[in-house]
This record gives sequence, structure tokens and C-alpha cells, in this order.
Amino acid sequence: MKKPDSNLELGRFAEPSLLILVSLSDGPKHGYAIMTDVEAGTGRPLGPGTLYAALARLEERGLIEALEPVERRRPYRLTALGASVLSEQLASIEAFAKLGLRRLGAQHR
Amino acid sequence: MIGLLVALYPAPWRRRYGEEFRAVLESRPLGPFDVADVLLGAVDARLALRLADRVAEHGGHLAMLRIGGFGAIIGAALWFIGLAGGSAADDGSDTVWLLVSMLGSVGLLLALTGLSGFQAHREPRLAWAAFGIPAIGTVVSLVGMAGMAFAPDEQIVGTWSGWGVWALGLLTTLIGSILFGIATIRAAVFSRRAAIALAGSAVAVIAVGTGSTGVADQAVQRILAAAGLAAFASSWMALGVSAVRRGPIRAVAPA
Repeated sequence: MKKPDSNLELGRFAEPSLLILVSLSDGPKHGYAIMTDVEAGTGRPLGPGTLYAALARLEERGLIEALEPVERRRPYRLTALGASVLSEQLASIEAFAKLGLRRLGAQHR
Repeated sequence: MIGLLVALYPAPWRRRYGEEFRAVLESRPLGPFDVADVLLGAVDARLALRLADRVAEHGGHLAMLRIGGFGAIIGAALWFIGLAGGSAADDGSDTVWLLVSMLGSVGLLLALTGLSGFQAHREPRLAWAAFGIPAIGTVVSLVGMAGMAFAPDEQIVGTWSGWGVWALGLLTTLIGSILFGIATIRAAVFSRRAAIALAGSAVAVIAVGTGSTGVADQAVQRILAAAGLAAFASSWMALGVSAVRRGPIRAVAPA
């Protein structure tokens, strides 16, 4: 298995990519299911163009893999590398969020 | 409408994602946000494809550069060691030295291919002309060396012995190397000093080999020939070093 690489160079697709990885963390989903799942989770729409640009990058970097299509819909699932990268990124976000909340709490005390 | 949007994506992308993408677009009514998002996605897919092409092309150039550079360094060294060893050997080990020199010649062929291919992006006509003559010369000299190694007392091409074929090949290689040096100087891709040294040493070896130096003493002629051949091999090695050292950014700079 490849080592997680924090420098994935996802550019402006870093945020949608993270949302997709989170969406796939509880099991494989096809494109439309990912879109609706992200919208339900964040309250913000994920456009189909953005979705597939991010999917292509994630697949190219080995973070997700395509499964056999069911009719015309192809499900994707997280790879071991993808799970590892996601875990690393979420831990980093969690640490950052805690720092922000701590500072915010100190200011309003 | 959906067909038109999908058609905006490049063909390789459509082959991979087209069908499932179309299924996603058909899953719900498209709003202005979706259409704008797909348009941006198509632009992104085309840019990503171009970038991938450039990276692949870039990688190919650099691989040629590395192969050519190491071919020149190792090939020239083996070629000269083989020649020097064969000249000095008086214990019947000529064949071994010939094989070493033949290996070196193969390395020089790789060098010619890799470095000319790379230079061809700057000076196409000159680079390929400078490739053809020394490459033919190297192949001919390889045939000559094979003749000397495996059929030393036979005429291998018409009335030509292995040594004669080798000498003809060497002369052609030297003439071609002069052209290669000029092409390198003009293309300004690799070390100009090494290119000048290559052309100069090739001229010197031809002058010594054809007796144009006016030196009558055979011992002095042999020393001059050895020095010329050493300078010739060293110049190829210096060209190889400059090729290997070239950075990736300047190496693909447009002409």
C-alpha cells in the first residue's frame, strides 16, 4: 500500500474531494448517490461537473476505485490509501477546529 | 441538451466517464448552476488532458536525455578502453578488447539516438543529418569489429577485411561526429565546449589517421593518434555529462 501523501495537489478540488471521500467512508456509492449524500450532509449542492472532476482526480491518485457498473451507474469505493488519507485529513481538521474553538472560547470568556 | 454537455468533454474522458456522467445528468432536472458547473468541468477536463500530454511528452524527452547521456559516458569510456587494450595487448586477448569496444560502440549508438532525438526539437534537419552519418559509421565499425573478433583472417564484405570495414566505419563516425559537434554548438542544448572538443578531436584523429599532420616518426604518430582518440572519447563523455546534468525545465524549453 502507498503511504498517505498530504500533498495530493487536488487544487480547487481539494474540498469536494474531501466531501466525496467522507461520503464513500460508509460504503460504495455511484455518482448521483454521492451528490445527494454530500448535499444532505453539508446543505450545499455538489455540481455534476465538480463531482466528476474530483472523482477523476481521486481515482487517478488511487484514493478511490471504480467498481463494475450497475446498469449505467458505476459505484466507487474508498481504497485503503484513500481511507488512510481521509483519516489523516479529518484528524488535521479536527485539531484545527479544536484550536479555533479554544481561541474563540478564550476571547468570549 | 445533456448530449451536447457531455460532448463538450474530451473523447478520452467521455470513453471513461461519459456513460455514468450522462446517467447522473439524467437523474434530475438540470438548473443553471448545474449547466455552469458542467461547462467548467469540461474546461477542466480539457486542461487536465493537455497537462497530462505535456507531462508524458516531458517525461519522454527526459528519458531520452538520460539514456543518451549515460550512453555517451559509458559507451565512450568502453570504446576507448577496448581500443587502448586491444592496441596494447600482445597476449592474444584481442577478442576480449574488441568485445569491450563493441559494447562501447553500442553505447555510442544509444548516445547518438538519445541526444540527437533531444536536439531534434531545436534543430530538426541538422540534428538528424548529424545523427545519420555517425550512426551509420558506428554500425559499420561494429560490423568490422565483429569481423576482426570472429573472422580475423577473412574478407567479410567483398574484398574488405574486418579491419578495413572497421576503419571505414571509424572514419565515417569521425566525420559524423564533426557534424554532430556543429549541430550541438548550433542547437546550444548541451555543453558548447564539449561539442567544440568533439569536433576538434575528430578532425585531429582524421588528420593523424590519414597522415596529413606532416609527422614522419611512427612513434610520434601513434602517440598523437592515441591522444586524439582519448580526446575524442573524453569529449563524448563530457557531452554525456552535460546531457545528464540538464534540468527538466530548460530541457523542454521551446525552440
